[in-house]
Amino acid sequence: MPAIAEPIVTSPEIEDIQIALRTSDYLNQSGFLGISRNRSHEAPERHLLEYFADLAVTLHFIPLEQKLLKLAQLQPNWDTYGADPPNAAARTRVDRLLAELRSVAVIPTDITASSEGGVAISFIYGNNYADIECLNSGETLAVTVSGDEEPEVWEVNDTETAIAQTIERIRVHVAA
Amino acid sequence: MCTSPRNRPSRMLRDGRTEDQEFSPAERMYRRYTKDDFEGEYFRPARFRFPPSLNRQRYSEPEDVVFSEHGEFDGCGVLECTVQDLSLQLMGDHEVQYSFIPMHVPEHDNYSHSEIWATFGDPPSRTSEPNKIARKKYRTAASKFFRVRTAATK
Repeated sequence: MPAIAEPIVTSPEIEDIQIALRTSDYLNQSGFLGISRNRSHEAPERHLLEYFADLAVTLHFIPLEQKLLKLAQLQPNWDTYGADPPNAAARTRVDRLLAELRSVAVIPTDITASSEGGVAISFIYGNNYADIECLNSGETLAVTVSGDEEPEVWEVNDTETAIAQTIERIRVHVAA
Repeated sequence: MCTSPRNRPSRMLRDGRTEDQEFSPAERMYRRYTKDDFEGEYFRPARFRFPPSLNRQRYSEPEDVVFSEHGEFDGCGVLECTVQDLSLQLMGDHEVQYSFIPMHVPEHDNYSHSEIWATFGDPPSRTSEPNKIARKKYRTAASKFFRVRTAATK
């Protein structure tokens, strides 16, 4: 697991988690962190393990989602080299990508505004780098690279299949 | 508080000088950055817009990239790399090979201003806008060559 880049500030979701931990009622909250209620036949210990696995993933995504919200406040020329701020369409696509990544527990290390105009989701694991860049133009491009190799770049269409394939390709790359 | 504008160094002014497209491989290129342009030790490719804007060593001092009359770039740091670092050859899509080269693009108040352009095809054509696949490949590959010369404080 990568280190969390920024301190986690409180949010309604974190408060829910804290309340659930205090009251130990997380096993009864079906929608909470995606835990299914159809597991009554399984041992409570398994629920607990799954709960904490989901919790660990969630805690990585909360600061990223908060950072995405803040990117809406950037002004033109925010990078001092004339960049446009990320537009709403790019931020919406990143929001969707974050949800997809969260659902399969592929954890980005950061998100950032792109000087090309847009938002980039980055993955840095050791010597392996990947990112997905959602541009203001409506295009989404992904890249993987390791060390001094030539980067591999591909365009990501706005379909569930293309997004899932991109996430899987990045998961395999950063896990190598 | 009102402060007097700083004086731009005379070396930065174009003052009628023409372009000079001769770059040696060892010539250094500079650009400014802020702390957030890095993720850990990585200079973020997302912060490296194409065509990248740089100052060339032959006609500037490193700190020129953070000069402004009113201090807008105070606290920015300076990154450097060499012409050789940035002169990459990469494949775009459709098996088109791109060679990336520095171009001297003087500005009125920044004579050393340069960019990286691409050449492709036979006979070679020069462009500041190669296709999107080549641009992203280049930004990713080239960004790792930048080293911190002067650390940013913001």
